Amino acid sequence: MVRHSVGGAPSEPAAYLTGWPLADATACARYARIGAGPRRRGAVERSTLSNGATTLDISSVLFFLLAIGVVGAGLAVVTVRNIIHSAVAMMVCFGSLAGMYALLGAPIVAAAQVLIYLGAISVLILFAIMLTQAGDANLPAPFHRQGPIAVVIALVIFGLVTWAVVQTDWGVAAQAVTANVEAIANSVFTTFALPFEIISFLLLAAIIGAIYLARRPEDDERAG
Amino acid sequence: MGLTGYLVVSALLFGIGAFGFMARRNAILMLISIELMFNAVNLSLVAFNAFLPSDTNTGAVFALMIMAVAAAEVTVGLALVIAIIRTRQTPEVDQYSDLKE
Repeated sequence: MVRHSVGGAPSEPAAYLTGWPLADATACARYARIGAGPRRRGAVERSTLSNGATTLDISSVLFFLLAIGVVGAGLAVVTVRNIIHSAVAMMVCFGSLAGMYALLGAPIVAAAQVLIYLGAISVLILFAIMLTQAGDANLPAPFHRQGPIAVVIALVIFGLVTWAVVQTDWGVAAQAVTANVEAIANSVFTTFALPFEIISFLLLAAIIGAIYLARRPEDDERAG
Repeated sequence: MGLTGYLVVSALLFGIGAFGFMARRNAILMLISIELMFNAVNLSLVAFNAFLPSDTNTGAVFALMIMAVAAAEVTVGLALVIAIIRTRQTPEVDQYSDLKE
């Protein structure tokens, strides 16, 4: 990997980012941990030769920043004691994921993530928390008794999936390919027209079900 | 960054969501953990779509559809949770033991 000196590059932000030491250290630590060092490093060097060093390294730095945002906020969601703080950490996690979708060349999915998750679902969850919060200062213990077992099961899930991912030779391009919005729209309304219609029906059923569930019993008596 | 990095982040987020669903006592936080797992799956789908491109962009389309399903799920789930909390006066799921007693 090409290294530029930090001092000689104030006029070139790309070269400055390339020399950022933390991203390289994190990358090496991660590759060493998942045991895929030689193959992955070879892929990085190949794409460096074909595409130039600066673009690849900027996307790597962005990837590691967003990955830290996603994983750190996710950990905060499940460990923080106050549930309002959990919801705010969840919004940070969803925002970082939207950035990751944009980095993957899927701007339409990033926009949908911001609209649906950050705009709709987060607000819905915050409303639910405010409707149900007891308001007393002494918060109850956040975890069940089976917390340690849950840690073990979650680590087993993560380990198995990571092992499968690292073992598989995907045979893929080294660079993300940008998804054409027009092509996505075409396939939504032609190839996947039936799932699209089923989803519209599902949303209607969800609206009716939510109205029915959230209604108080005394509303029925008052209505008739 | 290659496909492996995105998939490892996705697996990590799914593990975090699974832990939160199993270990937390608050019903609303269990729903939030389910959302984290949905997002982990979405991330892997979009990553596959970017690195293994297809003519129909199946990964991106199904990520959008999973978002719609997640919105429907969280709507009904939160309505259920609010209805339960209204009758039981607590969001702690280990207090919901009427059927056991």
